[in-house]
Amino acid sequence: MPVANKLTPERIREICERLLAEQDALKTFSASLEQEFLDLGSLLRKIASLSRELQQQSDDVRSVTVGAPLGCPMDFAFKLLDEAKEVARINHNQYTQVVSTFEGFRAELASIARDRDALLAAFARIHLGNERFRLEAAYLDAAPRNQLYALADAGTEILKTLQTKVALRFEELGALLWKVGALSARFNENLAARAKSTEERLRSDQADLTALNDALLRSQSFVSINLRGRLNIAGSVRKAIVALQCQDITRQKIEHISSGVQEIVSHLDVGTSRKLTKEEDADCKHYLGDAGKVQLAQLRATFEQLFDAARQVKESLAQVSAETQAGEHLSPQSSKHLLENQVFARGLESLTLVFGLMESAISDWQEVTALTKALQLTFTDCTSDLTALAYQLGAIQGISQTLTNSIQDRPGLRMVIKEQRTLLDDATNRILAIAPCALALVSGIPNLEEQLQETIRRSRSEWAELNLKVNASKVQLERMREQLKARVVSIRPLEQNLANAVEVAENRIRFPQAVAEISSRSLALFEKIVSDYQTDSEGVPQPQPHGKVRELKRHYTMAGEHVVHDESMGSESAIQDKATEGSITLFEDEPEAAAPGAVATAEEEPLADNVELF
Amino acid sequence: MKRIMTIDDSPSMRQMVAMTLESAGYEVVEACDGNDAIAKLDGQEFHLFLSDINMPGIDGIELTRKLRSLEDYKFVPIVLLTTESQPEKKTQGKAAGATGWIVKPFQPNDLLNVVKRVIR
Repeated sequence: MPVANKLTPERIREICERLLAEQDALKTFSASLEQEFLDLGSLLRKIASLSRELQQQSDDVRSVTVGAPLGCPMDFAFKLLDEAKEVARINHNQYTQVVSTFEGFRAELASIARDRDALLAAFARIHLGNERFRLEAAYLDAAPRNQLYALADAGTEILKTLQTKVALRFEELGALLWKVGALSARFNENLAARAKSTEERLRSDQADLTALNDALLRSQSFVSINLRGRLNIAGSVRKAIVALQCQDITRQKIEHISSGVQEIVSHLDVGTSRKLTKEEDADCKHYLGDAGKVQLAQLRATFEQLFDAARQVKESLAQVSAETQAGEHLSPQSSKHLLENQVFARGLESLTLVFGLMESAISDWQEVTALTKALQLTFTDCTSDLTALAYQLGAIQGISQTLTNSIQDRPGLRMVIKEQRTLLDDATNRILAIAPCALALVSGIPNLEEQLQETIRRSRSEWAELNLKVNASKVQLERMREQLKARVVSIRPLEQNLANAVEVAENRIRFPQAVAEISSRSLALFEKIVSDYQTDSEGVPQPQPHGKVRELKRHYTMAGEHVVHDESMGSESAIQDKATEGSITLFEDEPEAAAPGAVATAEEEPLADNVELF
Repeated sequence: MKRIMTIDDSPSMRQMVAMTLESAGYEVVEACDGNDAIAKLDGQEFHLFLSDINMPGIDGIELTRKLRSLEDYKFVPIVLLTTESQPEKKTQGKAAGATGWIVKPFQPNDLLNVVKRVIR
């Protein structure tokens, strides 16, 4: 056996001193971790709080955009545009109808104008007939001749008056026809132009509102991405919380290891003041070897847990940092779209410009109404004159009948008179045919005027109502924009604070270095002990664990400690599941009288494995 | 707002418990051991006690017995949050009147789930 392995009193004292020194070092180390973990905990708390605040801001952005209780401002604006399109369409149809009606008027007037020529031709023939009548009458004696001349003169006078009046009326009608034609042509032109501008205007409005909506959706999507990042941060924080609990757990483990060291020192005490007997020597070596193995294993597990905690905390902070940087990148983009004034201003403008087009349509209706009044007056006069004309032609017919009776023996004269009568009948019939047409036109005008007035009234009312809604929409959109701007602007400093807190936390993690230092020393000590004493005097490994090593277990409180102990002794652990760490039990029991504070409902989520309800 | 007392001799553990509970909107009162917990009761209403077991002075199981003997806190849920996992200890806790048992380390969501379940 190597000299170093001999358990002389000096050697035992040396071992005990080193063990006790290591015990103190471990306690000091354990205590030193507390402040660092508390600092990390405070920083983690700050990170969690900032992240929650960011999440709240992101939620606010989304709720402002979606809108409540009025509903989404953008939806309202789009619906308004649809309403404007519908009203414009109805106006356009009404306009088309009026144009069509005026076309009808114009056609009727043109037809009446054509009748004028035929009527004037008939009058001319009657005049000619009158002259022939005079010629035939010249052959008569003075008395009948003079009577006939007087009749012919009377007829000529009447005809002249009639011709003048007819000419005047038809001239008026002609002027009217021209006006109606001009108005109709202008309406047609306006109709086409207005339809085109309205369509272009509405298409442009649609595009502007869509651009605004797209900008908002982009902002929303950035906010949603930010929100996902926030949720990832929350997950990272939870991981860190689990890791930071290890300070308390490892502190207890180190306490138990310290208690184990005390047990070893106590066991060796017998050899500190005298030489050991052969049996005592074998016993102490056996005990040292096995206890050393156990302590070594417990220390390794404890240090590994600390290294693992450091790794977890660093990973968590790195994840938070990554999410924060991603968010920092997104927020300015979100702001950029929201603050795009041009897009927003055009969106608002688009809601109002279409009204200008409709206002000019309403002024057209008013011009039409004025013209229909003039038409009505003209047709009324025309109808009265035509009726008077027909009456006068009847008078001439009566005169010619008297004449026919008095000139039985003058066949030439009789023929002239007969021809005159035929011409007069024709003229009368023509006049009587024109009159009802004119009357029908005249009687249709009040209806048209009423329709136009009604159209004007309704258009004004519809556009006024839309105008109110447009103003409401503009207010909503403005408000939404201001709220969004305020939210997005407030997110940036939060993100910066979060990034700063993460950086400070990352720099604060120092304990892995301290763990490395103490672990190399502590493990080296127990590795040496194990190496020196794991075999007997003959160098043969001990077949069974030392009986007293088992007593180390009375210091353990954790399932993991038992498992490590058993594994280090090469035996299967009685505790099957090392993963009781983290388990929850709620003690299921009878009603609350038997189990104070027992849970009331059973419809909750299933409990984790480390939970038991009593 | 529901008030919870967390009792643990480890400041860092109390910190993690408080952070978890406060993030869910609970008010948290910290006590560093059993005696401190009793002193801080002060007649206030508490909706839950969350206690470690191994503490100097009065341990968690003794604290549970004491709380159950107090009229105002007889029916308030007590959940023991501990590194202990041995069945015998658990039986002791249950017999003392504890409502539940959580072995450290806890997952924040699991802790909140338990709190939600036991608090009325």
